[in-house]
Amino acid sequence: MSTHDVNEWSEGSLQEDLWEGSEGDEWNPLIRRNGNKIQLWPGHRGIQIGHITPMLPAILSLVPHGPSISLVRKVVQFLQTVRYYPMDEPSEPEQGPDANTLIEEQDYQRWLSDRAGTPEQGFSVVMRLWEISKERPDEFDELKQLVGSDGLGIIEEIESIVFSDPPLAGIKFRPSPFPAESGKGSYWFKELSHGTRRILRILVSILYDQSTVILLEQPEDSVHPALLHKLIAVLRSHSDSSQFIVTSHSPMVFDLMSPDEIRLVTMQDGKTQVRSLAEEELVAAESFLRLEGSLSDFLETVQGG
Amino acid sequence: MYGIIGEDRSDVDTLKVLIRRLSSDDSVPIKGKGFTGCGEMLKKGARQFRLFQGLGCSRFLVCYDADNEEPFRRHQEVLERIVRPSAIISPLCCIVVPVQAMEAWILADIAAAQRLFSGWKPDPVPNPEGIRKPKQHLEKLSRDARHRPRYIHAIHNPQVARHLDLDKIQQKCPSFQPLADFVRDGVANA
Repeated sequence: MSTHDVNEWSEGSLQEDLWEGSEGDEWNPLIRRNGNKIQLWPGHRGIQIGHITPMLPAILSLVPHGPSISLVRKVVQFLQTVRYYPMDEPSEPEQGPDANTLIEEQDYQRWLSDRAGTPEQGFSVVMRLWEISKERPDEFDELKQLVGSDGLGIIEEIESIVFSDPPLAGIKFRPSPFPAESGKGSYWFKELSHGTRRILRILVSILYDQSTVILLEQPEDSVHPALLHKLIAVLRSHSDSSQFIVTSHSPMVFDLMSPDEIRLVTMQDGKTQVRSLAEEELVAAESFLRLEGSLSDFLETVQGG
Repeated sequence: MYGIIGEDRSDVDTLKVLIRRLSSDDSVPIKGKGFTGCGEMLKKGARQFRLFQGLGCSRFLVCYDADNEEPFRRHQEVLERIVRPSAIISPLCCIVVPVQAMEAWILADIAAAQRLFSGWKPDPVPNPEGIRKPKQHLEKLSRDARHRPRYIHAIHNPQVARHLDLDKIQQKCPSFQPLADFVRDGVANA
């Protein structure tokens, strides 16, 4: 196991450490960076890189062989599958990567080759769904079950549609409960409600990327409280293979966590501070949850102090 | 009309299904409130009962998982913190204390889960109330079987409850009996 600390940015000097160890054992420093200087262990060889050059990829380039290089490579691979998912949507429905209802083959092929380099296009829910429906039927079925009547109950059916002349494709959704008065059979992604689009965006991201670490902001936005309860449970069901780091301002999301899962983020003296609950706070939280109230009530007191 | 409270939203949703099945009547009116944990339920349960009474409920039910505690102690705790302070005017009140948690009832007829997950064929569980953490056990069975989607109690408990063999639950889980007696015969225990 290794830990990679990115410490302070002090007067333009980036500091990073890479340590190796395991729980309960002693941790040994492998690599230390101070500004543009990197000290490597064992051997204490020093190298220099640019002040803001990413440390680990630079080491792999400059020192491709060495006793710790295989570990560095594993850490880089792990960090490359850490993904932040922007849940924001463009203010105009006609903008953004999901504005088009129909997909041309050439656009799809371009998306396949470009998506790694263009995060905005890469996060297109429609393109990802199209790919899953064609190439990954198990994940497509899983998604349909998760959102269907035996799951979250928001989408009755997801249909992949193909037109031959001209050759176009698309994904249509039948919401649940079905708004019969609309007169429509099904809807394109951009026609769904904001909350439904948000849930689909989250679920498609989880199933498509299968990332090691998933960073999600405010999953509660536009999501009905009864659905939020179930959505958090879905995230939790995938937490054995992916770590979820979720930011939230919602008491309801807090109440679905356990005290040891909480990290409090504050701004002090112009610096962001992150901390877990202290041992005595955890003990107090367990007692409070057992006898008196909710975790959100408890945290309100902890943060207000 | 029933007014039921539980520690968790999915417990209340599951109880609604079970009450309607025990009544053999899908149209039984039920008001429910799932809290976020036992502390909140114990703190706010009494006022919730008063609210239920104000809305016309005449049968009241509390579900409180034993979670490795003596069921009798849980029963007393609910009496002292919820039922008595609520001062509801009704002889029809039931306290249900699943051993260790409601998921034991699902484990009693785990084959019912196949109605939702056709490829999943879990082995029968002979003594579900002997499993210390039945919710985690159920979800681990699902993970180990590698079927997708995985079992998610918040979503699937009420769904599976539609298909459970109620006789099997009664045979394997004595903690289910008070609920069955209350719904079928109006036998209160609070």
